[in-house]
Amino acid sequence: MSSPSSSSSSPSPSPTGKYTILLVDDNPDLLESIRFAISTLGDGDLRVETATDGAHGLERVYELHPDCVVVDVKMPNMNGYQMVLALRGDPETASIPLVLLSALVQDHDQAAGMLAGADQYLTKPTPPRKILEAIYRCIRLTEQERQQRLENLATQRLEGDDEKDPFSSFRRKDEPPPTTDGIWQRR
Amino acid sequence: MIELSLTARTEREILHDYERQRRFALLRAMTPAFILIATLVLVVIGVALVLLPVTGLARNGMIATIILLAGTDVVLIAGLLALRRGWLNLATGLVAGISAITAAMSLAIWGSSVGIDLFAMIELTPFSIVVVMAGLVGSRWAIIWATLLMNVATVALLFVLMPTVSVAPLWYQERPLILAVSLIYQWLFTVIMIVIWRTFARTLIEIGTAYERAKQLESLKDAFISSVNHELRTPLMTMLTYMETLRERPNALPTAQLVSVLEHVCEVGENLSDLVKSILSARHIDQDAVHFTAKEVLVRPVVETAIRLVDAPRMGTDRVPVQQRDLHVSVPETLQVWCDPIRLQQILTNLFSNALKYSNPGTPIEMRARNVTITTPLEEWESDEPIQLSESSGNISQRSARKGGMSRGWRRGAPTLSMVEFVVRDYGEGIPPDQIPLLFNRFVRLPRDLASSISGNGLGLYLCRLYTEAMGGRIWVKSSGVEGEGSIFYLLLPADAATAALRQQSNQQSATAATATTTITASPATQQVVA
Repeated sequence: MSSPSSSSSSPSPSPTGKYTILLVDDNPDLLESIRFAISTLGDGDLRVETATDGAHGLERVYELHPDCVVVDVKMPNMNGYQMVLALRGDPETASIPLVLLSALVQDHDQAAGMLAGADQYLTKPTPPRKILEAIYRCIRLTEQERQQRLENLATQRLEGDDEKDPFSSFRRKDEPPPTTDGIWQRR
Repeated sequence: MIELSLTARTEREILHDYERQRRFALLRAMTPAFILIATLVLVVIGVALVLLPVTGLARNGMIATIILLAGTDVVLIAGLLALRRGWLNLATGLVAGISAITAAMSLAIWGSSVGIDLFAMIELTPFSIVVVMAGLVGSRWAIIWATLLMNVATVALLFVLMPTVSVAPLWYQERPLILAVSLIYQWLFTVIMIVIWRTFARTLIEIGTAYERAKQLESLKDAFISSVNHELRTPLMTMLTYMETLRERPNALPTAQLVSVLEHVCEVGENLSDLVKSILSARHIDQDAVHFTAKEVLVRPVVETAIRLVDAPRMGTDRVPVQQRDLHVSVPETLQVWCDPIRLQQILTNLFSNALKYSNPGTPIEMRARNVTITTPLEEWESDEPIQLSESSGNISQRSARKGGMSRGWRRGAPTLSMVEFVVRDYGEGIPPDQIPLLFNRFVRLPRDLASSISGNGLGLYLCRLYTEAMGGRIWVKSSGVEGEGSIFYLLLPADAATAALRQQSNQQSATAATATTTITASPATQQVVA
């Protein structure tokens, strides 16, 4: 790629970052810009890694065990929904917070994303502050809350309880349900 | 994700569907009417049988007619039930069949009970009505079969039945005449019905095809809009992310780095602006396409420029250096074509970049140009381009000669055209054959490509078609849709000013279209590899 920023302008991700964020998008320019925004505007505790398609992203998740994954929906090899489903299906990765970042802005696209198991659904273009907010909301779940989410997921699997909101375990207690938090929100 | 059921249905399928609907509606209205008429006649005969003092053979005839009509009613009701079940052919057979049988039987009953008299002659009329009915609810073959059946019935009845005493002398005298005239009338009805059916079918095909195409284009445009939406939003977000971050932290970067970030942002913005322009300009393309200056152009330099341009421009995220691919180009050094060089170069660049975009790295791309002489209407001409372009050119003329020998040159009015044929072939995924008819339309991208990361605005091939047709040429594609077999794009342009003028004329009076076979002769091309 001839993008000048890839080599010179982007501050190298701080290797001592407390949290690892994995960005998955098939557009390298966009990945670079988000990496720049996170490292400039973040609190300095985020380490940003990238992948350019779904399959590659999945490999990187197992390699890095990130604290949060930001995924595009339309990607080659494996799309965002498929990647979310794959991560949620494996107990090892099921508790990793997931943010979908997509150009698909229809209500049903957002619903599909949430049903696949994403924690947040952001539509392009999203201001960098909003992305950071979403990431921080995800990674500031306490260890206990994460454990809780995993357990909830396991019990739900066992009980096969369809009545209950299947994604309640992925949300914090104080977080409003998705109906008021972006799913149906029109831009 | 975009899921589209894009199947360009063939004309035959469209006709079949609409014909089915029409026959369905017709039978649904006609059968109850027939039931009603048969029942009314049945009641009238029944009342007459009770009230009038009829005896002997006439009485037997009336009873037989009542039984016949009752049977007709039963079969018609069965037909109605079959129709309700959706068994159209069964219903058609039942209704048409029972009509024929009733027509023949009523004459047979009358003739065998009373004998042939003047009334029996009137009974011959329904025979033609049966033919008309078969024409309404069936196809051409139904009409012909019904006519043959009624012919046989007519001949049999007229020879088997005996005349009444009063008309006997006249009957034997006029029987050949009656027979001949009734058969002629039946065939007259057949001809009328077949002509009606044919014109009707043609209208149905035209309207149906237009309607289906319009529907498909509409859904393709929707899919395109949602795809272009994605391609606009991503660069927009890239720009905004940089801008908003820098607005919040203006001092985040030293000046040198800031400049390079801004340069990058500008580049993204320019790409975005190109995309927007190309979409908006599509509105004006139609008018611009007719403004060009054609002249005698050497093909090879244009091809070389086109290849260079494929290599150079920014192609979004799918920049593929052409050097990495085997590009076999064979263009005779002296080959000339009558066109606007810029237009030709745009068309070729488009075809090359498509070939690059839609085939895997490592697969070759082949291109050849040659002279061809076409003696059929251009729209029907099929290239006999061998599968392997790299075959020696001597084969072409052999094949052509053979094909020319088979042709039936009975069609008049197609002038001999001297054209230049360009062929661009890739070995990529190919194009599903059912999606080919839509490919050259505005804003059309294959559902497969909309779902992939290959960028495109659905205008390239539309432009190619507009330019080509404006210059008196023709562009089309052949593909099996099998991965690895790729697609072959054909482009025909006039070789000289005279041909271009001929094409201009035929464009203006493009009323003639029919089927014909081809006669082509290819001038042997010299194999030249440019790149």
